Amino acid sequence: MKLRPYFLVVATLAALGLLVAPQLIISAPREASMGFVYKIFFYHVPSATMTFLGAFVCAWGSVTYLFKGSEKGDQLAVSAAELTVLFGLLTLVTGPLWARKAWGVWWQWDVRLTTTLLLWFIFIAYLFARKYGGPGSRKLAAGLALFGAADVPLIYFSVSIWRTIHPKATVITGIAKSRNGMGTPLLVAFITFTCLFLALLELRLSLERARARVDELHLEAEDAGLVS
Amino acid sequence: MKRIVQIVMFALVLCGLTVSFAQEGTKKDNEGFEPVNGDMLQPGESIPASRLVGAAYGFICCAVIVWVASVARRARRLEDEVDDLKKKLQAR
Repeated sequence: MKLRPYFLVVATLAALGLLVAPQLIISAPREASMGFVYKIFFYHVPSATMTFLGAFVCAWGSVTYLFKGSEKGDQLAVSAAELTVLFGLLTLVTGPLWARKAWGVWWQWDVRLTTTLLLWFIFIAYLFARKYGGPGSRKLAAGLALFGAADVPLIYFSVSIWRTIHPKATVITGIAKSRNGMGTPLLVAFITFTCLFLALLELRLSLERARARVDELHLEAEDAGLVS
Repeated sequence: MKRIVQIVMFALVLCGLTVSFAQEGTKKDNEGFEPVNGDMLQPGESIPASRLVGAAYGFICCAVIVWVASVARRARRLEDEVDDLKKKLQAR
């Protein structure tokens, strides 16, 4: 696999962050109402943010593929879609672990939780469409990605529009600005997850580049009459 | 397949270590911050918070490792295919 030079930098930063972040998170002060369990927040929020980022990157790649026929855009879209599913899974697993302690239940059919689950299903559908959809499935999947990206603002603003038990987005800015030791672990967790996202995206993109090379070789072999 | 099993085993060990590390961290926290009786259990609760925090981190590590292993497996398969096609084209 041929990886671009920046991969090594972001992968190293992500690995370092994954080692350092837990120590900072554990030493962060306990939140008054939720106690220790609120520390899941430091993984949960960056995971959710990377899910949104993945959805937007996938939508961007899909737009360039749909309107300009860009193969690179399509490669970017499918790579980002897989990351959206991965980080979406992390969000949907870490959230209920927090909810069990904070709300007393694993899951609530709350607007934010339901729309996040919907986003995850849309990107699962994207990957299924690409794998089993047959000819023309790439365009169908690209359309699905746009619907998925449209769900992101809905998830983000759901806590402001509807009555919900999920904490509001202002909690994040409050913690980030706080001077009581909660801001630093949150910043480190965000940097770590962003680097992890970039490293995994490059890893997945290299796979798509290798796949394109295989397709080229298949065409060459077909022209030469070596394979039918 | 053997490598995937090894990776999953490694991930499980990592998960276990993380949970125990998180529980240890709780004790340290108690020294510096507000004291909590027992293992931070509310009346009627059965799962300590530290275990949930550890499980969350462990799950993240496991999921990322499994995903990277899956990408590596797919890449290996593609590399084999490239080598095979190159050999066929060179032999012509």
